[in-house]
Amino acid sequence: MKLLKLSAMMLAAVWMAGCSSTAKKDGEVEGADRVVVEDRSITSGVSGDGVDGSDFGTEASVIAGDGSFRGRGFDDPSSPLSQRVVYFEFDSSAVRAEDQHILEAHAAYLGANPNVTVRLEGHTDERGSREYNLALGERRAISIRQALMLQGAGMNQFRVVSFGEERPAVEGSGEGVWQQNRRVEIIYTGR
Amino acid sequence: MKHPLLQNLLAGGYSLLLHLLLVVVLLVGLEMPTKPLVVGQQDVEIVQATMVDEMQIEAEMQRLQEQEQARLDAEQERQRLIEEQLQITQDELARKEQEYLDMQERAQLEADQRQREAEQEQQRIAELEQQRLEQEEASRMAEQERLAQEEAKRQAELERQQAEQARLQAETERKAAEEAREKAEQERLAAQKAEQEARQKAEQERRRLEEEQRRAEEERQRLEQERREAEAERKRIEEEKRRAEEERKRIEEEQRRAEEARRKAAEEEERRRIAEAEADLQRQLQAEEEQRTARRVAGVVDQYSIMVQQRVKRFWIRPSIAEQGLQVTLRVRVLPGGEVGQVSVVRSSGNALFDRSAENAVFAASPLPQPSDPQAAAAFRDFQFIFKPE
Amino acid sequence: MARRWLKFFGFMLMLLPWHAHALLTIEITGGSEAALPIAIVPFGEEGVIPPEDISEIIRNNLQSSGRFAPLAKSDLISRPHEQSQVNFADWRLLRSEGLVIGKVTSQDGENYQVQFQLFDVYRGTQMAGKRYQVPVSGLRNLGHQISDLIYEALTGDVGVFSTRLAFVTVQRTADGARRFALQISDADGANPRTILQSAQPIMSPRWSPDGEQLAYVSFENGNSEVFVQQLRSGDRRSIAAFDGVNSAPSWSPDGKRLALTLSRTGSPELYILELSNGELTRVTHNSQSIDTEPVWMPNGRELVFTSDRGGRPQIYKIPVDGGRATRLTFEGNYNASPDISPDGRKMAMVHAVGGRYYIAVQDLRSGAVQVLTEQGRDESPSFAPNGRMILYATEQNGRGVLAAVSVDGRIHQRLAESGIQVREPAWSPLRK
Repeated sequence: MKLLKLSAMMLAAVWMAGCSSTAKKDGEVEGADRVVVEDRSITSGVSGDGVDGSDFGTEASVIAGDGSFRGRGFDDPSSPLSQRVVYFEFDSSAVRAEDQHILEAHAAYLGANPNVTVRLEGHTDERGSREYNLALGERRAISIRQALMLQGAGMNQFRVVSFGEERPAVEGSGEGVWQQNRRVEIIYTGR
Repeated sequence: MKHPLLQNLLAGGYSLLLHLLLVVVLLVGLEMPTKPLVVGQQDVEIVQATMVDEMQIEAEMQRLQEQEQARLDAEQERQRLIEEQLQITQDELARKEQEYLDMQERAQLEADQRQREAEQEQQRIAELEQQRLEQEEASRMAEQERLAQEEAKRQAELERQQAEQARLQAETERKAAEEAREKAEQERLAAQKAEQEARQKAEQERRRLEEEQRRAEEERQRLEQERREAEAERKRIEEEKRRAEEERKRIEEEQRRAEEARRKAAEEEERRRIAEAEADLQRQLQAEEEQRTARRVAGVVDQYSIMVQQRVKRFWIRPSIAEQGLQVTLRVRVLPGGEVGQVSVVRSSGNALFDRSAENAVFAASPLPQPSDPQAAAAFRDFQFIFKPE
Repeated sequence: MARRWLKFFGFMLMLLPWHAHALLTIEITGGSEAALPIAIVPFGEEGVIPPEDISEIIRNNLQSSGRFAPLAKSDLISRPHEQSQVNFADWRLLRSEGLVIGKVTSQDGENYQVQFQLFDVYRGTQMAGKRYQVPVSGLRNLGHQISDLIYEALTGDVGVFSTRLAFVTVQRTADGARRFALQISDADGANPRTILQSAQPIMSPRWSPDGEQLAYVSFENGNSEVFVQQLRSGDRRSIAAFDGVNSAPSWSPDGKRLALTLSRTGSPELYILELSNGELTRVTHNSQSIDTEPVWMPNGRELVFTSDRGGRPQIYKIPVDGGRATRLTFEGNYNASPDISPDGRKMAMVHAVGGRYYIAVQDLRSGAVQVLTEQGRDESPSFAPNGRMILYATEQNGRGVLAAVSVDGRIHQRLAESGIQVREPAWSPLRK
């Protein structure tokens, strides 16, 4: 009986030792989870400032090198080139009819300036699956690329990027917000 | 019953008395003329005496015959009465037999048989009577012939006596003195003889009368015997009838007894049936009472089952197990007051956690609601739970 | 007569249930999966007062799991710290099924001796009990481990209190810029620590089966890119940075492969990346549709994914080595973001009804769908490693928060809030 008790105690001691070591190990692990600070500067168009118009300014500065267009097209609100965001219906990548003239203008510009490149950023509203929206944003951007190429732009003038719902133009909820976020931004990146 | 016999006896006695009187008269009548005749006038008187005597006998005979006839008539009348009575009795018997015809086939057959026998008997009696009458007629004829013969003998004797008288006249005349002496002697002898004869005759007559009387007595006795036999027969018939009656009565009695027994049995049966019905009723009432009690208890048990069920259910926290169709049966012993004493798994669900959750529900539900009715409460002392999610 | 007896006998038989032989049997159906009452007595403390209240950690864990209803401290009749001080009859009155007592001892404030015991109150027996020696930094985690033991002893399910969560947070910096972070926390949402910070979006963290690595999508290079990061060392590498979308990583059950969505061919397709040599195998070939969000079936032979090949996003299943995809979801016109339960029987997903997005669970055998949430702005479901709960992201007051719901929809939990936007949670596997 006593022997049994003793052996039980010994077992417990052995177990305790094992357990404590486990706990210790875990504690070390937790403490050792290293924080990676991702600090690489990204392309200027995708600054940490967000998508609230400052993007365009940044982009614009990149494009600002081509002064002939700045004054006439990009800065003239009457010019379709001043409109570099195309919007979409929910869960759709189809170009709306009213946006055709904008695309025509950009296509003409790109066709006339084959060394100019643009980045097409596809975005969605916040609704639904983030991964699906990422794909949907890409599909929208491709849809615009397709439209521009059909009207004279060259394939190598584009870079397509999707941010899905991760970078909304406007934060918040409701159709008014969402419709502004379902978009493709045409960002001139230089020559 | 005895009336005819008495009548016979009286008739017999009367007849005997008459005969005796006749004999006495004869003897007196003979003596009275005889004594003066001793002196000398005895012959004429003897003859006369004889004649008178014979006439008397004849008359006596005639009277006897008439008496006999009367007696016969009476006898016949009596027989007729007997027959009538028999007839009545038979009729009565027949009627009674007829009455019991329906209920006793055998009695009827016997009665029929008895009636037949009675009729035969009657016939036989009638035949006997006829024979007896014929015999009497024959004997009467023989008597008459005998009387005629005696008459003829007496006639011959008379002639002979007359011849003798003539001879004696001559003798008398011839022998005067002697004759006178002889005559005296003879007269004396004659007287003696006459006396003797008379005595003989009287004796004979007496014998005859006695014989007659004996015969009559015999006849009477025979008749008596016959009557007795008839009586016996009648008695036998009556006895038989009585027996039949007794048999009938016995059968009736038996039937009555049987009927009584049957009735009694029926009554007994009825009584028993009633008693049984009553017992049945009692049993039924008791059963109903028990049933009522059982129902009441069952009602209370049901009611408390629901209460217990609700309470335990409230405390049952099932483990979240994907497994379907789990079911555990627990046996629970409850202490007076409703406190759960012991909970054991009777049939495990196979999932220890599920079993434990059920046990815990019972523990948590302690104390369980307990009916105040002791019978109902007993059901909640030791009982089972089946726990299943659905 | 015989019949009468028979009748009587029959009658007696009728009476029998209330008499000797057949026991009264009461059927209990239903019941509930309500919280189990449990008494958790604050642990005794000897020597240096510990910085963590282990019994409080246990209490919170059990309470938040929704499966336990710890008695209020004020209801505790007594505060035993050792078995000899326990009077079970008292605890029975409180109808607590379990009683947890324990003691924390330390001489130096660096190392602690912790012991606990779990008692079955109704039977007066010990169900679990252990002694530990831990450094002060391990106290909190020990509290979770003890919680797991208690949880498992009383529910039969594996406890997941000592598991971890990964999620993405978004913060506005003082200058208005957004700062994305990939964080890991305890299973209760407490103790968050950042493992990646970025000015660009971070998406879709996924735990490796061994719990040592996280795969995720980062836009740090201007486009979606898939990284795998070692948690212990912080080493990370990009494993997919092709043109187009590089996204939706999912670890194979053996941890050797990643399923991915790549649109390098122009349309999003499912691929399998062999981690050892970087070899890519394309699984879907459907250029007209979006195929994304692959997730492995536990058998490692099939992928479940979202596709709009039918016009609207629905969930399909396809063999890993190619073949025909079969549609799994038919209810509603929007089903996406599948996650498969560890036992492979259930699929959690986002199920949209009338423009609102709910977490739903579909029984993979019957196809029955049960909507589990009510908020309508719910996304990113992730099964707990014991399959009991589904972690998901939702919104509260315009801010993304994490929540969990039991697979039967009965228990709802809101995880500890940090006051910042939280999204895309992923529940770690069990600690090995």
